[in-house]
Amino acid sequence: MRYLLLSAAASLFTPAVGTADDAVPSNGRQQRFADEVLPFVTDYCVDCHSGGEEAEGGVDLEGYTSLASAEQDRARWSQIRGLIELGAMPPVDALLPEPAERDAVVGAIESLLEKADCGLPASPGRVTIRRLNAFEYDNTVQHLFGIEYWPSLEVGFPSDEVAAGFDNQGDALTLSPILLEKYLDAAEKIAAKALEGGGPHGSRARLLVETPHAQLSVRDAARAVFERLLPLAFRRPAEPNEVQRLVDLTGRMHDGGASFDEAVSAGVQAVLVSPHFLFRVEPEVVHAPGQATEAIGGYQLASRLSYFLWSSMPDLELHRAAGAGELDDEQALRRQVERMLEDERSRSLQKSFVHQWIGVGQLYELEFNVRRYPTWGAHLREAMVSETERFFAAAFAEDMCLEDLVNTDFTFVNPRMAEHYGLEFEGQDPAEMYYTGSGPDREEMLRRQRRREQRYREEDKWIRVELPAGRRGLLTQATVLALTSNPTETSPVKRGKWVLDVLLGDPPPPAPPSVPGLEETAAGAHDLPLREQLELHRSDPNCAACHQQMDPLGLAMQNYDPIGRWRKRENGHPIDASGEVDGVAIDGVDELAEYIRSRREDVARNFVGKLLTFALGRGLEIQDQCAIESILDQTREDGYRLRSVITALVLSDPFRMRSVSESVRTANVSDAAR
Amino acid sequence: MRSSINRRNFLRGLGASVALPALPSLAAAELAKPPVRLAWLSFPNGTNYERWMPEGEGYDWKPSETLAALGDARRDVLVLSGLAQRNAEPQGNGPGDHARSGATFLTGVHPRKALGARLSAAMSVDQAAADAIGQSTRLPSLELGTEPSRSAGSCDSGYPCAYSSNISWRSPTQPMPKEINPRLAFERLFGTFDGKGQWQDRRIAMRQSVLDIVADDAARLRPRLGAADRLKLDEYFQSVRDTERRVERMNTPVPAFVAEEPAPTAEPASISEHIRLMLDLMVLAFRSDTTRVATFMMANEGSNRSYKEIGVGGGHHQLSHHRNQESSVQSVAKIDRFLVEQFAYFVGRLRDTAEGEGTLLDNCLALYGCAISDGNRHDHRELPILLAGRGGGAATPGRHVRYSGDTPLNNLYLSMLDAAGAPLERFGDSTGRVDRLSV
Repeated sequence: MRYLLLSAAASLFTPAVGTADDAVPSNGRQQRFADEVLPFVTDYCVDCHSGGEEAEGGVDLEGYTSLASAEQDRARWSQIRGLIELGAMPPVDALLPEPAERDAVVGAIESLLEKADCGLPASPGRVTIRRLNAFEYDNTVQHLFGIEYWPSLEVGFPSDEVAAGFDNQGDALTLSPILLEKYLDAAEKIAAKALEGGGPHGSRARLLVETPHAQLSVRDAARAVFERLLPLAFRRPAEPNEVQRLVDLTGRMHDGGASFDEAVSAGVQAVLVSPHFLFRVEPEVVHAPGQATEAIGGYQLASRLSYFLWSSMPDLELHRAAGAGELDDEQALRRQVERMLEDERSRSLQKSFVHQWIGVGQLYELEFNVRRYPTWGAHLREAMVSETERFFAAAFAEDMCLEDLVNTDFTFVNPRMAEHYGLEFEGQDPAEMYYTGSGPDREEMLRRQRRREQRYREEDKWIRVELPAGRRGLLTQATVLALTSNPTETSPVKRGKWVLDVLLGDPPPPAPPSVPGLEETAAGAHDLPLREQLELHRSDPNCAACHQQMDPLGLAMQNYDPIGRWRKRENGHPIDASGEVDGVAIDGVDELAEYIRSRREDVARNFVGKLLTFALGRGLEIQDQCAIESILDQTREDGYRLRSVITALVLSDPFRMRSVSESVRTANVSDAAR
Repeated sequence: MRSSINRRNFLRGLGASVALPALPSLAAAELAKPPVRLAWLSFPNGTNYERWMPEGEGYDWKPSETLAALGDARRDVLVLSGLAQRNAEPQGNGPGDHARSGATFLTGVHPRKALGARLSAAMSVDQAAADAIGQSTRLPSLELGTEPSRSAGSCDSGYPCAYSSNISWRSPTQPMPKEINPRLAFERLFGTFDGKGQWQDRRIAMRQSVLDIVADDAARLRPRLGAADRLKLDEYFQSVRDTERRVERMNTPVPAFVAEEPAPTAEPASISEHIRLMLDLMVLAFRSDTTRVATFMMANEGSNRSYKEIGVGGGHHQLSHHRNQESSVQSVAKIDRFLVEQFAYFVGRLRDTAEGEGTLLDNCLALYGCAISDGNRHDHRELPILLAGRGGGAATPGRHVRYSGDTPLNNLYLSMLDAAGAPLERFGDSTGRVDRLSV
């Protein structure tokens, strides 16, 4: 069976850099496609990959007759190039190209379809108007009103759709009738909550800056309330008519017999369901005819910043700076980034960006076999996630170099994680800190003890500890080791894939439905160690191309069981964590970390791409490569430190600018003509 | 006969709201005949098709291993073979069958393999029905499920996750997210506010004022946005309009028997409990005429959950690619039967609910199916489809009907819409109506 494997990463381009050499005139490029790519496809691909529905793997390559048609499907061509490069295509039982032919076509596809021409005028792209996702909505409401309330959970918002790996992408965030209903319910509850909070600094006092009295009418009090609230809620100055309508509404409600509280609550609801609150609006502005790019406005930039670094609204200082035009100034912008990263609110980066980048969510879809892994459960999972969040908080706080994420000699533990890792906790044996109180009966007590179902003394105390030999950085954190495992045993394949995908930005394509899985090729070989089963699997040429990359990376992590505990043997077999990738011998996690650090450029390029996707709220386009390369150039010298990368990203064109939309450009031209 | 009294109560309530301008006036004759309700229930990952396919046709059919799980419900369903959703096929786009199947199941269109996140499906059949027959009930349509959208990793070969986690689509870009929490679904259907499920007039007036203001915000904002942003704002505007209509109907009384039902738990203890709570809600929603159109995803397309309560520890999706390994095939067979049993439970509940001279089931058409036939091979022809109920006389259940040569599943949908009084000329890739639904 022949299959063309297509990877999941439609939205990620393969990292490759445009250089001046590639600036071939466009008819030369078309010619090159016709001369170097098409003949290869005709000779080696279309035999199987043609005929529409009949095409092998459902992939039809016959229709690509020109560069222009291929440019419509860049992501697919990038996958095709990857498969040819890996040697996975054409399949071994087909007519095979000479190595030189292979190299030539790979080079041609890369240069024609995967590299941006950074010599062209800058194209910062456009971001579709973004609805606040559930996490941003909750944070915003908390900061706007000063209340502790999680409406998305209390009211039950439908889950936000994920695209390009993140749940904050403008195109994927839709607004359905059910969500609008939930927003109405939430707004009602939020208003009530805000009006409850007592005390001179409580949420009520904060919201009701005035209440009506003998000298102050209901309408005037309402005006004061909404003149303060609206600019914060809409993240820009309010227009007079916007305030007036809410004053009118409040007045009308009051005239109809509602209390002042109830009438103000109606106005607050209208604010919270307004598109100006729910969406991050970046309206069109007037610009010179022929202008191709424009800076987004100061208030819009402030919102981009705050939702990037805080997943929440701009605070008063950022709002002020935007109003004063300070964000146009690069130095002032740098200072704001510094300030915001120092702020507690920047911890949101761990829960939003880091969670999704690392794939922490997968931990919540996994259940490990508790007979083999009795301590697995909600407590342990929460502790694992907490460790990872604390680790990244420290990494951002200490402005760590990216490559050092896999190389640190410290982590954070509470007594539960200390016992999990076989460490002492402040000089104590953590096993003895586990609560061994009375149970309903001895049997039940022992069961709970074995499963560590109760709490430890000082369960909430977290300390920074030095890692013992054999543990190092992110790679040996239980979170990463567990989210890449199967319920009953480790999966070197998944671990290797995780390293390639999450750290190196080089994901292997998924196995097609009918390629034999590990179980089949290793049939009858279950008593063999996993390593030998994998070797059998790799001896199948259909699997070899990708698994030669994945397996050794994952095998290097075999000294850790599915929930991340250290081990020396597996199923009675001593562990052998050695292997070879790209001609580099790797034995165990220390050498794996060295290998990853040797590919620091790939690590950085991948990280910047992911961070840019998250910061912009849109999938990357080919032209974004130029911005990414520029960010890398600016941060290479200091070793790709996290804060430098963030700052360079904030200063980049895609973050501060946008392409002028076609429709507006045309409109301006016709205005000018008139 | 309790329910016929309650039904009268309910109809009085409906009569009270006829004065609202948005509602078409309902003639007395139309009120006399119970409305036809439509439901679509989807299950993920296809089946072991050879264990699904029954022997014999017409009334003379022998249930297969999987369909034996229908039990008594077999006389209430039509087994419909030979239907296809061919727009779920790759059409040159490579892997991603689960995502495509989710998006195609109720639309019959080929979803776009978008760059980035832009969605492109089509309005689904339930929403077409809701536009025609959902405008006089408290809720135009109901969307239920049991699993949230995936929040981690990719969903299926570069397709946006929305395709795998929704079957109901309001527009090509707007999926209708499903409620997965039984308690919240109950509250949305019947309200919680004054304990009697009714809204005070003042509250309704407040919501209407709020919606007026935000609709005005949207209208003023629109000209200041670029083209892609306008599409998003239009979605918002459409949702505001839909919600306005819903708020207008908020004071439609809920029949008394609903108040006697305990609100369901928010945290079901097992998959079967979760599914059954949702099915009970659909029965209650139909019985009380709170909605006439419902969809239910028993699990997301491509779902990899394990069914521990029936002794299946592996993930469903992983198992469905069984490569003919006997233990995996057996596990999939167990899941297939388990899910058919849940459908049979739903059919039984509808049948046990009296309505007018007959049963609620007589006035329903409830489809159970998937746009993947065999989970191991990912084909989209010979789909596993069951249709329960008589649809007010449109269907004669208890039979196996075989259609020929890739009859589009959408042809069946057109026939279902006809039965509910929501006819369309064509829908998606339809080529006509199906025959032999009734004898």
